[in-house]
Amino acid sequence: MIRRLLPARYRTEFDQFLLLCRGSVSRLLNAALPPRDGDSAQLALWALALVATPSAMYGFRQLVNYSSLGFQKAAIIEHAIQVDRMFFLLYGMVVAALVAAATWEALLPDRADQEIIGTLPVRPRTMAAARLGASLWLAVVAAAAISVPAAVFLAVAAPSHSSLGFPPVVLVAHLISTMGATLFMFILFLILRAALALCFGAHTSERLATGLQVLAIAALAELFFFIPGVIPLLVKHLSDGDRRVLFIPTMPYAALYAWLVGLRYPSLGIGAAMAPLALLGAFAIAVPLYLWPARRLARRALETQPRQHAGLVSVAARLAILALPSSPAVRSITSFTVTTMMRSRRHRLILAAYLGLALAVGTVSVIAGGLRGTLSFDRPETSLLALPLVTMFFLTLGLRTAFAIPSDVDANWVFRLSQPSVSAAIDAAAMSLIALCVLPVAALAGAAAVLLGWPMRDAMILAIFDIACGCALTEWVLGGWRAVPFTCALSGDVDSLKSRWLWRVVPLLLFAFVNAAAQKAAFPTDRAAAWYVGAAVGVWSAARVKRRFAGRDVSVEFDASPSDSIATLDLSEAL
Amino acid sequence: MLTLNEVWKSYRGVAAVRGLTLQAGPGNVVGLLGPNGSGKSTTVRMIVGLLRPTRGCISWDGIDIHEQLLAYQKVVGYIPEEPRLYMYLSAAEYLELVGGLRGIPREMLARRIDRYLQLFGLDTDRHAPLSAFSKGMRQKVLIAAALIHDPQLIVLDEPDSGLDVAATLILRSLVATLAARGKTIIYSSHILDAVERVCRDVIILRRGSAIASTSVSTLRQLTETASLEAAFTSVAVEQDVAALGRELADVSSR
Repeated sequence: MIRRLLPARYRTEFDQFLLLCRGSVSRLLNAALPPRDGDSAQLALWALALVATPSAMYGFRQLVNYSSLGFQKAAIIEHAIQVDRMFFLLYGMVVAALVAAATWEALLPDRADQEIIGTLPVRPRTMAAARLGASLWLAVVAAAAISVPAAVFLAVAAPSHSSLGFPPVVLVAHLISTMGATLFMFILFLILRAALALCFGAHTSERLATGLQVLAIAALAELFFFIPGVIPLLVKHLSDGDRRVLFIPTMPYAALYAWLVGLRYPSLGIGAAMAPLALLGAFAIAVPLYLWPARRLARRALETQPRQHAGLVSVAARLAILALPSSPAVRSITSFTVTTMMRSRRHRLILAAYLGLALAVGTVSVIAGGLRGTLSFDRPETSLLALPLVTMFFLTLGLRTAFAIPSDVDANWVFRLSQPSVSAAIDAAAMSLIALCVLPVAALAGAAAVLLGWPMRDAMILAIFDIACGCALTEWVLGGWRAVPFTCALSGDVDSLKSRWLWRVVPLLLFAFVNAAAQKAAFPTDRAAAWYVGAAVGVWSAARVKRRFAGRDVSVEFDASPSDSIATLDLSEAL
Repeated sequence: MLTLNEVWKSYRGVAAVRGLTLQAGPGNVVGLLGPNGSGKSTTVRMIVGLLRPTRGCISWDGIDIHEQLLAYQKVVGYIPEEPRLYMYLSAAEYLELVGGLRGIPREMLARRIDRYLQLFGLDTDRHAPLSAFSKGMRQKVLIAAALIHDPQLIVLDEPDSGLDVAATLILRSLVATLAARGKTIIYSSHILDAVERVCRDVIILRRGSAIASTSVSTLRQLTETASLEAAFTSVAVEQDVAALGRELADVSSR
């Protein structure tokens, strides 16, 4: 239909656009969910179901809640509607950020695309337009997945009170406002991606993906912990007609919903008008930003030589590892592990996800301390001391999870042929955990303490405490580990998904919060500090001896057994 | 007629190709030879329009290819050195994408894809993702993709990489047949025997410059050698290969 309306000279380009759009969707899905054995479309469906669940459940909860509000005053109902609205909008925006972070590297055609398509008679702008179209299509699908179930629940709940609105209007208003907010945020990320690629090039832009994922996951977790306290305040500003809050990205969409369902706050019309304008404005910026530099970006992608040197951090880490007094096998495996972690985007993203969770949980503990009025930044407080411990806990768990995902199974023949001992493999894994998770966090904690004005003695003790207990943590995290990192998918990790995650809450509380209280108690005197460090080193040494003893008669694992993996999932147990 | 006239390509001021001149007409198979880093792949990538020369001009039938790049790319078929493919696509899907982008009508494309897959023995794996293919199988898909639109100019960069003996022989026969049908062919390879058998003319590159550009037979006469391998060794190989081999064997044994 559209094709027929186009002038003849654009029809070929339109056909190419449609073909490339289809291919680009697969490219985006593969970037977001690199399949290990399965189909990325199937993984995408699962991911979609996962992100759709919280909003659907929240919508269902409102269905139950609203049905009992029939006798309440209109003002209370309106307030409740808007508070719920803010949840949906914020959730949609965070999901948009997550989708953008996951597909970040494929949001623009890269070198590989240019190598494959660049030799065909296709304009770079057609390829860029197709990628933009496919990205938007993906965002629309994600937005629909998180909006439609909740819209249905809210529409069903609407007849229980006149202030909730007319059901079809509620349905449409929810879809328009939530999907609009989600798309608006996603297009902002597209603009950011294109602008960064244009100004700084592919390498910087790629590095930002990891940071973006950390922030998105932290924000997602915060949404459930922290945001509920802020939302009522924003709603009050909106209902009072405070125009300044309309510049917060969610607020115009909240105003649009309120306006559509018939609420009449002051300045609501302006807010409602801002929502579609913001969306159209963002789209109007994104399109030329994608199309105009397409030729230049294509040429730059092809002409830029691949990185000729390792990163500074990578080189420094390798040099430090080579200086360690350990066997050649341990040093080699550690060096391989650290380098793989530095260079594999998939593994970095896993670690970023855990770091995001760490930031969210750690921030909650600090905010909770602040709300209780017990938080003081100028001396060691439990909530502050817990922050590096929480981070270390999640990072080591995240790295342990990443270890179990192979970087390239076909390349593991090097390790198969050399057959390192189990103790060498575990020692290397432990050293990598210490190098990548414990030492950086301890160093940052010490530096932060200095910046906060703590005495130098306290800052140093904090770093030593964190190193000592971090080393002990690595031994706990590596319990049952029998492989060279990144060379084998362990079936035991499938089991851990189902059965162990709850057990990690208790260790988190013990390691981060009870341990932080112990650290606080050990701070005042050198003697107490020495006892604390001695105890941590004792636990660490005992765990190492136990682990070495247990690993004497076993050999390194390289193959996960698929049948075992399926059996251990045993989903029927959960029903 | 493909013409490269005094073509230079530099990356950050470092010249990868220096003043290369070349002509290839219909029915001609021109071999590009040279050690690693001699500029073969950069030359090939410039010929297919992926890279733009820093200086000089590449023309097809007298027109600078970058003036009408889309029209030029319609007549070019390219087999890259590395199997650059979307690995999550199947062979049929990849060929459909390439054929579709080249504007081949759907029914004709389906017929050609079926035939290529059948002839290359890939029809039983047509729905398997390319990630599951061996290197040789991927190379066959690339050959099919390069030929699917009946190009006038065919550029092959290490086309026999990963192919088994039978497939290599088929490829040589294919190149000879295409040349006999008036196609212009650029054949870049490390395998001197292959170049000697399929190419009429040969260009030997060293450090980005053409150090020999003549027919295979003339090159053998000029260097007074019996084979292209010996001729290539005499003009392009700077090291004492026998001594280097001995040194390599000694590294770990001492």
